[in-house]
Amino acid sequence: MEDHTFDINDDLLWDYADGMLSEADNQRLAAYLDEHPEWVPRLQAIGAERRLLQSTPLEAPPAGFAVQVMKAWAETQSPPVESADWVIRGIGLVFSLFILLPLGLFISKGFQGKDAGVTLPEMPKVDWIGLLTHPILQYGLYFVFTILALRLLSAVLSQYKSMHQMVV
Amino acid sequence: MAETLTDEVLIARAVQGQQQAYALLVERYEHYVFTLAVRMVKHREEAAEVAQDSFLRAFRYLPDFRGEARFSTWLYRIVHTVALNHLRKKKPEVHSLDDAARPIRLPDAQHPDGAQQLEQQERHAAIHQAIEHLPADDAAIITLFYLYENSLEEICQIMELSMSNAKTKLFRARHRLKTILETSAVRSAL
Repeated sequence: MEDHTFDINDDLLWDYADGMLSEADNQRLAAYLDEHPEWVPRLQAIGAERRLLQSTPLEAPPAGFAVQVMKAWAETQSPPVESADWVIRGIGLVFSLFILLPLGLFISKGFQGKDAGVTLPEMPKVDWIGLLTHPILQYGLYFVFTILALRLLSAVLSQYKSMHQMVV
Repeated sequence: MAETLTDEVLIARAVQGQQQAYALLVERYEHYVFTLAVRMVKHREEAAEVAQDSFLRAFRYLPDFRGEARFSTWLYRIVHTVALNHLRKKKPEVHSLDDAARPIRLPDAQHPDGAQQLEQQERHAAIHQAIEHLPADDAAIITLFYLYENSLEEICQIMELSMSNAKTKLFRARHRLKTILETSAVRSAL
């Protein structure tokens, strides 16, 4: 009879159950177990523990997790918001000019040929109506409002599209 | 119909820009991704963040997925990396003393099958609780090998280990799990 000498222990049985032994060791251990059936209940217990590990239920993610992932994914796909920045900066620049231009005129005229510190400089005459009705300003404002309207429309359409894709 | 679509088909459609294909991939893998994340980071809300980040990262790099490994293997590798990065950024965790002292109730395996289902649930809960006490990598390898039935070769790819390291890690993780369960069983018996 072939001698199947083994330093048998739980670790070796676990490796056997996990299929981690070489083919030769597998066969040797199988033969050993045939000759030493007192180890079979231990192997069966290990098998039961393995099945328990294999059958633990999966954890459920929070409610609406998949929708949340798709929403985050859609956000990464939409165009960057930086294009809105230059519109805001443009508006800021126009309003800054409205304030700084008359102020500049006021300061430069105030010091022309006057006795400094005695006479208050005259307020420069600014034709506000003329400025507001100037064709360049009107076209500029029309342009800015058109861009803002288009951006708003694009945002609404993109939101609608991403929601529709998630529902389908 | 969705059930019949293979991962490969869904990936191809997703790469073409079909949002529905992305959604189906999330639905198919959300439980697996979340379970691996929660077992590693030990916190449900943080695990949800890790799981979401993993999906977003996977989608971003989906065009680079060459199909040399299974999609699940590739995805779990991303989850493992994201979870480890999350743990590195996080401050050291302060374990509650109550948590450490909480005994894990492991019912006797030889119990007759009167309330077998309840028994099974309790044993699962005990395993689940013991895995919570394992370090992140031990929890990951136990989950990948036993629950997801990944081969050792796949685990090497997911966790970036050599074969001998993977075997050693699995061996140690199994021992730690056993020790936790036995210690808790003794503690609850006292």
